[in-house]
Amino acid sequence: MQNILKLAFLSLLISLLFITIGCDETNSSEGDITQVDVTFRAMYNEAPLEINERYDLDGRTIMIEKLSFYLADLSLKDGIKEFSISEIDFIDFTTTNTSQEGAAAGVQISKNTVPLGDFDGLSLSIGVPSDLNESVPSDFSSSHPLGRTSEHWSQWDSYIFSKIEGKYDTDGDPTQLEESFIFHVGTDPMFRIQEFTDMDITTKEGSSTSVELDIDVKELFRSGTGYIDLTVENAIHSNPDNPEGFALASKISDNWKNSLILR
Amino acid sequence: MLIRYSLILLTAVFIFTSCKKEPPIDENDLSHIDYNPVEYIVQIPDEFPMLEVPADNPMTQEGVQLGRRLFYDPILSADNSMSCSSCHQLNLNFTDGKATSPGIDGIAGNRSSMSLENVGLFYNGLFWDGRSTSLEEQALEPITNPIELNNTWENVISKLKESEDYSERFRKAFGITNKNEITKELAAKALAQFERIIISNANSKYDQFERGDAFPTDSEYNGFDMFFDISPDMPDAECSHCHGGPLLSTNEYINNGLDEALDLNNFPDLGRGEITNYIFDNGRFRVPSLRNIALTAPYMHDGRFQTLEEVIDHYDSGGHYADNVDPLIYNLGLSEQNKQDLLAFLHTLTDTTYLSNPDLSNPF
Ligand code: HEC
Ligand code: HEC
Repeated sequence: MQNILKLAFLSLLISLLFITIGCDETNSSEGDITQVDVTFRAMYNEAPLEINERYDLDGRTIMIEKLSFYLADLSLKDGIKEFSISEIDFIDFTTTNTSQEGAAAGVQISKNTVPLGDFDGLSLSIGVPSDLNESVPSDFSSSHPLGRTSEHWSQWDSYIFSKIEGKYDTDGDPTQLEESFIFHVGTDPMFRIQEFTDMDITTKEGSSTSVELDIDVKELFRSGTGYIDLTVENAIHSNPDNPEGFALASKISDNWKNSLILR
Repeated sequence: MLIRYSLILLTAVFIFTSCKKEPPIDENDLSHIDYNPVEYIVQIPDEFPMLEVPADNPMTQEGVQLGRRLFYDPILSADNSMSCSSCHQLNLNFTDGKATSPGIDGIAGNRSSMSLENVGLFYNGLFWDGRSTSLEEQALEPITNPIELNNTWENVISKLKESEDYSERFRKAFGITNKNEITKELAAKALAQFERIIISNANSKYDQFERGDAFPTDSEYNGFDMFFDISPDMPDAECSHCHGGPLLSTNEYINNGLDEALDLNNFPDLGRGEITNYIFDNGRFRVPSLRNIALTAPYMHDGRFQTLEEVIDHYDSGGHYADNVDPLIYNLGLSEQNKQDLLAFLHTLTDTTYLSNPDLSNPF
């Protein structure tokens, strides 16, 4: 383990040296860079959410079977300056949160091109920015976040920005969950930007900096002062011209934005 | 000093012996045959995903042609009775028309043969359960599978080496210099190259009306509308959530409600769960493409439905309960007319023109 760490450190140093030299030659203003690890955890009642487990939502048993979103324009802010960490990532709890340990670890994305310095803000978006949203999965390789056929909805001409799917109980006996809910959100008006200010993040040379964000999953079901009544609202009907569908999709999009908590 | 003397001696001996008789001819040597592989360019419709070819198995004319022969050659089976093409028949869109596919000994498998149409464009695992991650890896399996070709690779390789034609083709495709370099990995690479050219055209009636080149009938249009959940006036059939995109499959692993399982251990075939050991993956199978679906009855991983009508009835009913049935599987409430429309739409997905590509046919 120690050797691995040493090796990792050494290679980081070497690559830093290399990059620094590279930068000097081309663009000296870019300066030194380092790694930032951003971790997302999905939480339910303050504990890591397990996919396919039963939870209580306002007196009703529910189970979440799929939970994912596109993370766009993740960037650090330094006063007025903004440094992009990542343009687009697909954050999927469906496969990571299948065990307690997996859920506790969350989904981590690491970027090693972050400038050194002190930052006081973080901004990120839920969704696919409109320029990228004009593309389709076939434009990308299968390993690219935007190369996933399952995350594009051709009838909207849009990626599916976020998915919450699951089942809920209707008869008070939670052994079988009779009905399902499917909240897929997409199209440009559903893009949401969230900013965190008054932060204190220092990126250092040779060590990675962690940023940890939680998603309060219960907040995804927020409706006014209470929660969505799943027997009434359980799917977003696809037609973008449908005002009811639009209202529900907007509500879910806002909920995604508001569910983000900086740890 | 000693070394120098012995070297001279050795050289002398060498010259002497070589004078005595001709240098031994290695009859397995292939280096005299030209090795000049020509790139094979695969035509892929613009709207399809890109073809991702492993760096160590580039597409060549020679590789594809070798793979094509292997695919159709019963030499691969223990008793020379079957080839890949027995269960993946060109005229049945590369399936076999059977619910489950019996191998050389007539032992029925438990799974239905899969169409190989566009198989090179599926990147989320192969087989119904995704147990294989690449075509190169996949091609190794049928040879030794007792319910398929039930052979051994040693046997296949020795038959291939005995054949001058195959030896020459392996040389031309992969540059080997000796028959002994023919391996199962190279055979699998050739088969994979052939499978990567099984790419359909995007020219079904559905593709044509998507592009505005043809008009659907009212019934076809209504089916299309329900399949893709387009208008609020028609019921949503939800199909395209799973059978979406240009290949009409998202390739995810899903339980579409075929079997009731109040206990998730009770599926007759565990499917994906057998590979991942995650109980919620039990009873999940890979979503198949629906291109040319009208040609590949019977349907589902075990071929349980004989017709598309039965398939539609299944989805309309909402299937059977298990905790992991996908939330999109529920009672759709379709009318008889709705079902006929959906069926009419599924028939617009037929386009067999790609099957006349001469490189796909039996070379024997
Ligand atoms: C006895 C019938 C049989 C023979 C012979 C056979 N297959 Fe198959 N093939 C099947 C069945 C059945 C499946 C599905 C098996 C499963 O999912 O467990 C399958 C699946 C496949 C798949 C996966 C397709 C996908 O979309 O995931 C490929 C590729 C394939 N076969 C290629 C071959 C090749 C190459 C050969 C010859 C080396 C071959 N098969 C010989 C019956 C057969
Ligand atoms: C929730 C995802 C999902 C939805 C929605 C869905 N399917 Fe499927 N479909 C699957 C899966 C998974 C399979 C393979 C299941 C198996 O064999 O175990 C499948 C198999 C099929 C097959 C058989 C394919 C073959 O090669 O055997 C047909 C036909 C089909 N679906 C048509 C439809 C139609 C029509 C609709 C809409 C009414 C639909 N599907 C909706 C997931 C889905």
